[in-house]
Parts: sequence; structure tokens; C-alpha cells
Amino acid sequence: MYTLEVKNLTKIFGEHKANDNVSLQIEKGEFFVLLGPSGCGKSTLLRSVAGLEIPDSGEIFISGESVMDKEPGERDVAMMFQQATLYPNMNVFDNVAFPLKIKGVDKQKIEKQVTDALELVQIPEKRNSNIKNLSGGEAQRAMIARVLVQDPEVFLLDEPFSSLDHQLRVYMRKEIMRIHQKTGVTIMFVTHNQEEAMKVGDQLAIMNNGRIEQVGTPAETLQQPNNKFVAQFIGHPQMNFIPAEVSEQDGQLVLKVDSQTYGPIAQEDLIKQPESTDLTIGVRPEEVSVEKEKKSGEDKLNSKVEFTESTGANNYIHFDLGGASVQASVPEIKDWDQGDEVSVSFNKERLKLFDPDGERIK
Amino acid sequence: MAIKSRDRLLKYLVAPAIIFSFVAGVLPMLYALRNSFYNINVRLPMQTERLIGITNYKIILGNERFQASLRNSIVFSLEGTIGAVLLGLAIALFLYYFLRNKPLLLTGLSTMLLIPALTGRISVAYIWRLLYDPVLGLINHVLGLLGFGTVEFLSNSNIAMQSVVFTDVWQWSGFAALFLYAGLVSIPREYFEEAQVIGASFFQRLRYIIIPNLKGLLLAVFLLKFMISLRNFDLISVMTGGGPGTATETVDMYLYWLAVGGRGLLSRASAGAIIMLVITIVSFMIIINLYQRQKVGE
Ligand SMILES: Nc1ncnc2c1ncn2[C@@H]1O[C@H](COP(=O)(O)OP(=O)(O)O)[C@@H](O)[C@H]1O
Ligand SMILES: [Mg+2]
Repeated sequence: MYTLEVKNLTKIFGEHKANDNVSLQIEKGEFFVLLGPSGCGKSTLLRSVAGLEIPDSGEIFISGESVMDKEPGERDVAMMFQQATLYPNMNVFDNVAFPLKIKGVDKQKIEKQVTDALELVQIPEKRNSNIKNLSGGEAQRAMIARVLVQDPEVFLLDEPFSSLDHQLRVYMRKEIMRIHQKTGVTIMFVTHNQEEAMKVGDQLAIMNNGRIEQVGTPAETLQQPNNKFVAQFIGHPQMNFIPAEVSEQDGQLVLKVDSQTYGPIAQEDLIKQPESTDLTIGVRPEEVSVEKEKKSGEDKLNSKVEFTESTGANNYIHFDLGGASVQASVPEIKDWDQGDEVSVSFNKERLKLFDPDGERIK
Repeated sequence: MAIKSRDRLLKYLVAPAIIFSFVAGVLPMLYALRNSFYNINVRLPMQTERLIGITNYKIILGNERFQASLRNSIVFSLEGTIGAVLLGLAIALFLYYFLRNKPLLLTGLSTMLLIPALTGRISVAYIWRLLYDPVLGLINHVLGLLGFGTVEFLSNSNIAMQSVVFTDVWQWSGFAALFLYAGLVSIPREYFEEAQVIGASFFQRLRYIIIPNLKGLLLAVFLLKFMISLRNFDLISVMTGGGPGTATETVDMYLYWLAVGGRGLLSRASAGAIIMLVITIVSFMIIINLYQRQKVGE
């Protein structure tokens, strides 16, 4: 039995399908991350789970029970909104105590639970503070505490840290992981930040245009993306995409980039046969190796360096292949200059191929 | 330098308003204050003006009809204000919960709600005097159809005041509702959704979210309506003339009668007006103080 299960959920706003036949399952204690660009329908999905949106079709189960007929308050979920929703007319303690007060929990228990929750999020000294006097991080902590005291089956967190500056966001991310490990709660966490998603998630669902493109562990989505969208969304720096034309030679596939050939690719490496000759090669900058001066051979492609780039920790050179700008990681930036001849080869095992629909076929 | 000259310009610009309010507002009040210590009677213009100290105050405070009129003023203003604010809040909540996403209906209804407030008080008074009429009135007609007997809304001294208050509430609650509705929509929606997920009932939301977030506005509307209520002369004069007997006579009406309508006791009426002024100022200070404290608390 899943703690949360969404089956074929569709939500339409006017003409726009905000959620398009979405299905997912979350196990008890899992840190489940819903990742996708802004506007892809993450909040809509979370709000449907909470009962704040009524889906057009599909079903939602919490602990095996359908919640479609239940009010938000009866669903045993707690939600942390994208916007700050601490009540300005209550201090920190009263805000955290609010859900308990609503449920009619007696005073002593409230006192204890709220004190514990404030301890856990490490702001016990702020219990009597006015909401207006909290820093961004403290406000987030108070909101987490308010979610914690509700002790629900599922915690729904909608981009909880997106309004914080980078440093604080990284810190709060660790905090939420610490709290997750300590309490073992089930979390559905929404973010548009792939780096954040990869770091915190046990399971990742990548969403685009209202659809779930792939569900898997961070490593799976990084190494075996279902399609081009996932491949380009996950991982930093971004994967290179190079247009190529495929042809068959002696039962093996050969790729043509510009007028150069690359291959062969073994048939048994393919997930499925290409239906079109126009494919896209996907290869990460770390999987591109480069050598100076022109070389020829089956696995070599030649180009000229367009520009070089250094982030301090990593160095990259950029060149053109098949009309696409390709980035390769190099050990020393000073070895390279604009206009240098470069001979390129790929880590063939890791190399991906996408068909024109974006589906991965290798 | 530039700032200084701008400050000076500001002073010149504000000056006419200050002078005007002084001449139009403060001077007559000072004149009334002066008069209240004299023995002026407009029916006896030849009588020599004489300073008689606080005699007028003593007499009028001991006068039962003045006391009754003071009670009526307070009842009318408080009931009318509380009634309009509460009914206004109820209407605003109705609009918020049921019509927020129906802009056409909302606009139509808002306009209708404003009409009573935009109608002159004298017209409203005549309309309702007719509505309440035992013979011609629509209300009694409907009551008759429902099998009830005739109700003497304005000539039964037990209910005349409540009938007038009802008219006043009717006139102003729509106006209050629009203010409060604007306040409601300005409360972040997430506050309500948060409460929804937590499982707060309607009354819990009202108590913990709506009222606290609207407190400042509620007080402001209260203040505004209270000010309107204190100027009740026209409405009550037309509807009941203060009757039956003196059942609906407010301080304004009594003082008018005292100074102009009846015995010409201008000085005594002035004393009454000053007493009313003091009561008004004190009650306003209390409300404004509450309002300020609420602002600071925010
Ligand atoms: N109440 C609504 N009415 C109309 N369109 C909406 C509403 N809520 C969301 N949308 C639209 O649905 C899409 C998904 O929105 P949302 O779920 O908020 O995306 P995300 O949280 O992934 O940024 C967006 O295009 C948004 O404009
Ligand atoms: Mg969102």
C-alpha cells in the first residue's frame, strides 16, 4: 500500500491542461521530489492532493483510501505553501499551535508539541516573536514547525525555499533532510531547481507541460533519461545535443555529423530501432574527450575551438558540431585557444540517441 | 534650501483649509460655548444678556426629556452602527464566498448595495415611512397576506425606535459591506487555503483569520458609520418627528425644539450641544485610540 497514490489525474483550466493524466506512487517515509520548470503544473498537482483543486478526472489515494470525497481538512495532509502563510496576527508560538488549536488538542499537549517542534527546527528562542520580526530562514522554519505538529500521513511542500537566497536555501535544504531522517515522515517536495531535487530526493518525478516525463532515483534520471527533455533538464552543466543522420552499414548503425561519420553503434545497444534517419546525439560535457590537432578515425570528429570558459573549478571549450554548439570539459584551460583544431571523441557507452520525438533509443 | 521653501509653500497651500475649518467649525462652537453660560432666549429678544454660570448645564442635565433624548441618541447611533457593520460583514462574507468568481453578478450587486447609501436621507425617510405605513405600506400589506395583523411600526412607541434603526441599518449596511469586501479580498488567499488544509471551520476562520485581519478596517467603518449616525436629525424628523410622544427624540431634535421650535431657550440648548459634543469627542477618542493601537500592533 502506498502512502500517496495518484492515478490518471487530469486538471484543466479553461483550455489548458495543467495536469495531464498524471500517475505516481509514494512509499511511506519516502522523500519524493516533483521537479519541473515553472508553469508545468507542479503546484496544481500538489493542490489537488491537498484538496484545494478539484481534478477533472483521476483519483487520489492516501494510505490506500480514496480521498476524492474528502475536504482538505479531512485528508490527513499538511501543506507548506509557496508563499509565506504565517498569520501576522499571531506570534510564532500561536502560528505553530494553530492547527492543534483547531483540532481541539488540550493546552498542555499543545505546549509540549509546539515546544518540541520549535526545538526540532531550531528556533525555540523565537516562540514569542512577532512574525514580522523573523528573518526569511526563521519564517521558513516556523512554517516547517507548523507542518510538523500536524503529524500528517504526507507532507506537501511547494517550493518551500525558492524565496530564500542561495546560501540559505542550501542550508535549509540540509535542514529539511535532517528533519526527514530524524522523523521518517513522508514528503512530497516540489521544486523547479534540478540541483536541489537531485540532492534531497529519494525519488524524482520530472514534469513537463502537465505530464510526468520520468520517475526514478536521481541517478537513474541522470544516467537513463527517458527522453530529451529529462536529459537536458537534469544534470549540470547541460547535456550537449548534436543533430546526426543515421544510416546502416553492415548491420550496424553509423552516424553522420556534418559530413563526418561517427560509429559504428552496435544494434544490441539500442532500446529500439530508429524510425527516422534524423536523430540527436546526447552527450554530457564530461563524456566528451578532446585532443589537439586533426585526427581521423571512426570515432573521431573534427572541429575548431570557438571559445573557452572557466568556472574556476571546471574548464570548458566550446566548438561547433553539426550546427550545434558543443561543450567539452578539459583539464587545463591554458592549453586551448580560439581557432585551435580539435579532434573530438565521445564515451560511446554513455552516449545517448534520441529520435525526433525526443524519445531515447540508446 | 529647496526643502525649506517647499515646506513654506505647503504651509501656504494648507492655510486656507485650516482657516476655513476654523471659521466654519470652531468659531460657531466657541460661540455656542459662550452662549451656554448666558441666559439667551430667542423668544425674548429684548431681555438683557446676563452671565448665569453653569445654571443651564445643571438644568438640562436634570431634565428628564434631555436624558431620554440622550439615551435615544446613544441607542440609535450604537444600534445603527453595530447593526450596519455586522450586517455589512455578513453581506461581505456572502459576496466573498459565493460571488467572488462571478464578476458580472458582483458588479451588479455592488451597485445595488450602494444605492441606499447614495440616496438622500430625506428620500430614504419618506420611502420607509411609506413602507411602514399601516394602511398603504407594502410591509403591512405583505404581513396581512401572511395572516398577521397590522403593525404600527412608527406609531407604537415600543418599536418605533427599532423601526427607525432598521431603516438606518438598511441604508448603510451595503455601504459597509463594500468596504469590508475590499478588505476581505485583500487578505492573502493562502491564509484561507492554509486554514482549509488545517481543517478550520467557517467560524474558526472568521475568528482567527478574518476578524483579526479586518480589525483595522472594521474599526474604521465603525467610526465612519458612527459619525453618520450622529447626524440623524433629517431621518428621524421625517420618519417620526421624534414621536410617538418623545419615543424617538434624539438630542439633536430635542435641542432644536428647545431653541427654535418651542421655548426659544438658545442658551440652554447650547449647553446641551456642548454636553453632546464632549460625549462625542470622548467616544471618538476611545475609538481612534483603539484604532491606533491596532495599527501599532500590526
Ligand atoms: N486557478 C488557475 N486558473 C487558471 N490557470 C491556472 C490556475 N492555476 C494554475 N494555472 C495554470 O496552470 C499551469 C500550471 O500552474 P502551476 O501548477 O502553478 O505550475 P507550477 O507550480 O509548476 O509553476 C500554469 O500555466 C498556470 O498558469
Ligand atoms: Mg508552483
